Order: sequence, then structure tokens, then C-alpha cells
Amino acid sequence: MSTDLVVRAQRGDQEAFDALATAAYHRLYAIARRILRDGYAAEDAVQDALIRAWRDLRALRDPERFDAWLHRLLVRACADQTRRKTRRPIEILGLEIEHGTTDDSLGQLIDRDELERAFLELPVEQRAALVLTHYVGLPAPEVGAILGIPAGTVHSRLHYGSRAMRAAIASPPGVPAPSPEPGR
Amino acid sequence: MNETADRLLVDWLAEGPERGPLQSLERALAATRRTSQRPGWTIPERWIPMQLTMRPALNPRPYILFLAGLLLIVAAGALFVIGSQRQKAPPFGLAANGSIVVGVDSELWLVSADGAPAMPLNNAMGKVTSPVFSPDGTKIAFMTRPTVGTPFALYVANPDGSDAHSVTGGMRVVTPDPVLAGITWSPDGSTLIFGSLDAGRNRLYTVGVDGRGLGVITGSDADRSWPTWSPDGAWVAYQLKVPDGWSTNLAIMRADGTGERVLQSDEVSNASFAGSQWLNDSSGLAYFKTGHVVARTDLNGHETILSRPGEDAVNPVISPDDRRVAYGLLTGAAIVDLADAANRVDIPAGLAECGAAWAPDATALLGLGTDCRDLFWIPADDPAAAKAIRLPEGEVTNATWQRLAP
Repeated sequence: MSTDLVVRAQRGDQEAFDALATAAYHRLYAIARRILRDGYAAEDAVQDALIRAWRDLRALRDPERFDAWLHRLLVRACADQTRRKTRRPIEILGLEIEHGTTDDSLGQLIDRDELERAFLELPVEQRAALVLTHYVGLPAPEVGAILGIPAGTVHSRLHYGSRAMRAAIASPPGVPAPSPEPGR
Repeated sequence: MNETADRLLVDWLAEGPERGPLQSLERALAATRRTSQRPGWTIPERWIPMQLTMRPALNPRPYILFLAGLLLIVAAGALFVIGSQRQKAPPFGLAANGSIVVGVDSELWLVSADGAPAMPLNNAMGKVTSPVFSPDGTKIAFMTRPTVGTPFALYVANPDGSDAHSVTGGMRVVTPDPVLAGITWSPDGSTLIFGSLDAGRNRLYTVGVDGRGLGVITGSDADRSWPTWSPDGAWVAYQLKVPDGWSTNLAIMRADGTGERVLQSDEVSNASFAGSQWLNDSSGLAYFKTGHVVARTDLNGHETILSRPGEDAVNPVISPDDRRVAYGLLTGAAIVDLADAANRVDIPAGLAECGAAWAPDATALLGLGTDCRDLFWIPADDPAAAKAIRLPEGEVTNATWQRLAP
């Protein structure tokens, strides 16, 4: 990411913004797809995030923080998508169920539908924390900066998110998984 | 165990595509070119710490809510007594406006367009979602489950929430979307069709409103979901996805599962026909497809595009008199005359981007706001006069409007 491009885009240079958006696009899509588990909604979320980024770019005080700011817009757009999907069903992403797999001792226990459902029932902020941490590989302070929360809260979201996912992995279908967060 | 599970989670998250479709990027860049940048000084985040710009949490006042709830219970009871003495509404076409029931964060609420607070509708039933009034307005169906993560059961209740009972017995209903299940009533209100996952495959089931005749009507050869029964009762439309195929289809079949035929096909595997809606004369359906184009099809598969070129249009809803279609846009929404597309009313931003539902008398719409956390009553001929309907904080899954005899 070039700070110069960000500054030019803030001054209204559309070509500079196109270059920034093009450079970030595949990364944003991959993150959105993993948060939303739906390619169609991921495309919408990325488009929404890019439009908001262009529209509000002048709100960015520190051009060096463009990437983190863009990720924050993306997570917000993903949250909007989960609410806007009233008429857009979730696409089941991932492998078909493979009963009888023997090369992994847990393979037989995993129903990917259950895993998918457990993930989709997490609040989108928890999903984002899991994806940014375990897929993108960002440290907690950076995830916190993107999500606008303290690093401690990131750890908390990861804890409850991971706990729910572990329950889905370990529990047979139909056994209640713990609530995503206390009180929810 | 935790370490192994976490490793599996990491591996699972790593699955899937790393690159997005380039045409989607082109669409996004084209959209930014149509968008003006906001001056920096107009954006609060530039001047105020982000935490201070967030919406503060509501501080509920229990005694006020209790008194208001009590008044509403009395009012709703009186309304119900009056309402129950009326004739049944016909199964389609124009009707009088009845109660509005809204799903908010796994609870059902009775809301009013007159500004009164929302009233809980028998929320002791667990996690409830996807309420749908029967065509004659005498019953309401919904999915419920004891806790998040457990299977659903399909319930039917009176419009005030009383006499709620399961019609699916011990069946473990697993909906393709835990937030919004696909439930459709037969026009005579005697039968329900709904979707459930069976070994990873979405299948359609039928059951009588009395709980009899529960059975599966589609095979395990393909995913069939989001059923919607035609107003004349002759057909059920649904989304059809064939395994390993690259298309998503809008198909119809008879209510017993026979006579399947594809009306429209979208050559994108993750396209959606979930929002398909019948015209009230049963001559066809409205839907949106890849590229966010709103269209209608007749039962021979002849398609007519309803949205304007370049519009980001989703979630069409046909008015009960079959005269108009409303659909959401990226910003705002539109009401378009089906006979004359130039006759169009724009709905201001913030009222119905997330979805809308027509009032049974076709004079107004319920709009779900920008992000499905609000509800607005929108006069169809003067959307600028829209009013917010009071709701508890949370995600609005859907709203269903009771039809009463005119």
C-alpha cells in the first residue's frame, strides 16, 4: 500500500483509488467470504466497503492506517450483509461430508454442516475476530484496531468463538452448543 | 483436544477461494465512480473519537415498558376479539390490514404502525424465527428451538401467540439458514411446506396444519429450498441447485413433488432465487438474480427485466393488487408500476434497502431499514412521509402482516 496513493485518492484522484482497491480486492474478498461463508454476499460486502472507502476517504486522518481502516469498513459491510441477507440464503462452503475418513481421528466426528452452522450462528464480530486471527494471521492488537475494540476484548471474542466451534466439532449433531457469549 | 480442534478450525478457515471474481471488482469500481466523496469536515469520525460516534445503548425503563405492555395487551386483546368476529380474508389479492408480527433476535413481537411500543408474542417458546401468517390471517407459523445450536420444530399458533403447538412432532428440522427459514402456507391454510437439511441436502417437507401427513416431497438428488406456494394452489416454486452443477435455478413443481420444471437458470453456483415471489394471479414470479437485476418470469420461462439497467436491485415484492413492484437498491428503494415502468416512486435512503413487505391493502410497505435493524411504515404514494415503528434493539429477521377480510 502506497501512502502517496492514499493521499492522492483523498484529494479525489479516482485512478489512485482504483489502484488501491485493485491491490486490496482479492484479500478483502477472501476475508469476507470466510466471514460470511457465501460468495455472493462476500462480493456485495467488498463492493459496499469499497464504495464507503471512496466516499469517506477524507475521514481517514492517518494515510498509513489505510489498510486497517479498509478492513474495518469490510467487517462493518459484512455485518450489514448478515442483516441484509433476509432474502439471500447462505451458501454452504467447504467440502462435502466424508464419512469414514480414517486418516484423521476426528475426521469421523466432524459434520461440516454442523461446523458451518455453528460458525454462522456466531455474531459477525466473533467470526471476524476468528478469521482475522486464524486466517489472516493478525495479532490481537491489530485485530482490535480493525474491529475498534481493545485487545483484551479480541481475546475474549476468540475464546468464546473458539469454544463454540470446538463444541460443534466435538458434539454429535443435535447436541446443544454453548451460547456464543454469556448473555446472548 | 482443544489444540486439535483449533488446528481443524484453522484448516477449515483456510479452505475456499483466495481470489474474487474480477467482474465484481469492476462493478465495485464503476460504483465508486458514480459516488461523490464527502468533504472531510462533514464526517464526525474525523473530529470525534470513534467510540463517541457509536449509538448509545438504550436504557430501558422497566415500569414504563410494563405499563405500556399492559396497555398493549389489553388493546391487542380487544383487537383480537373484534378481529376474530370478522370473516376470513380471501387467500390472495387485496385484504384489510391486520396485526404485524416481527422476528427480532429470535423473539416474536407484535408491533403497531401507530407509534405504540412493541409487545412480546409468547416469547417463552425458545428461540423463534421466521413467522408467517396464514393467507386467511387466522394462524401464524414459525420455527422454534430450545437453544441456539439445536434443531428447530415447526409451530403453528393463533395470531396472539396462544395455542402454540408443534406440527412436526419429533422431527429435527434443520433449516438451511438459521436466521430465516423457508415456510409457505397452502392458499387454503390447511398445509405447510418447509425446508430442512437431510445429510447435507436441502429437501422440502409437507405437513398438515393439524400435524398430520408429515413427509418429504423432494428427493436427495439436489438442493431444493425456499419454497413458495402459488396463490391458486397449483404450484410450489423454489430454488433448485444440482450437486456439482454450476447453476442456480428457479423451479416449480406440484405440491406433491411431481411435475418439476425449471423456469429460470442463473449460471452462477452461488446465485439466489430465495426471494422469489408469486404474482397474485399466479401467472409468474418476481425475483432478483446475479448482478442484482430484478425480473419476472411467466410459467413458460419468459423473462421480463423490471429494474433499470445498472441499478443494484434486490428483494422484489409484488403489491397485493399486482399493480406494482417494490425493490431495494444499494441506496434507497423504488416502487415501479408493472404496466408502466416510467411510473415510479423513489423511496428515500434508510427505509427499505434491507427488504420490504406490502400491506395487505397495498397502500403502504413495511421497510426493514438499511441494515435490518429498524422497521418503517412507508405510504406507497408518499414514501417521504414514512414513520418509524418502535422495535426492541436487534436484528429483524422478517415481518409478516396479517390479512383480514376487507
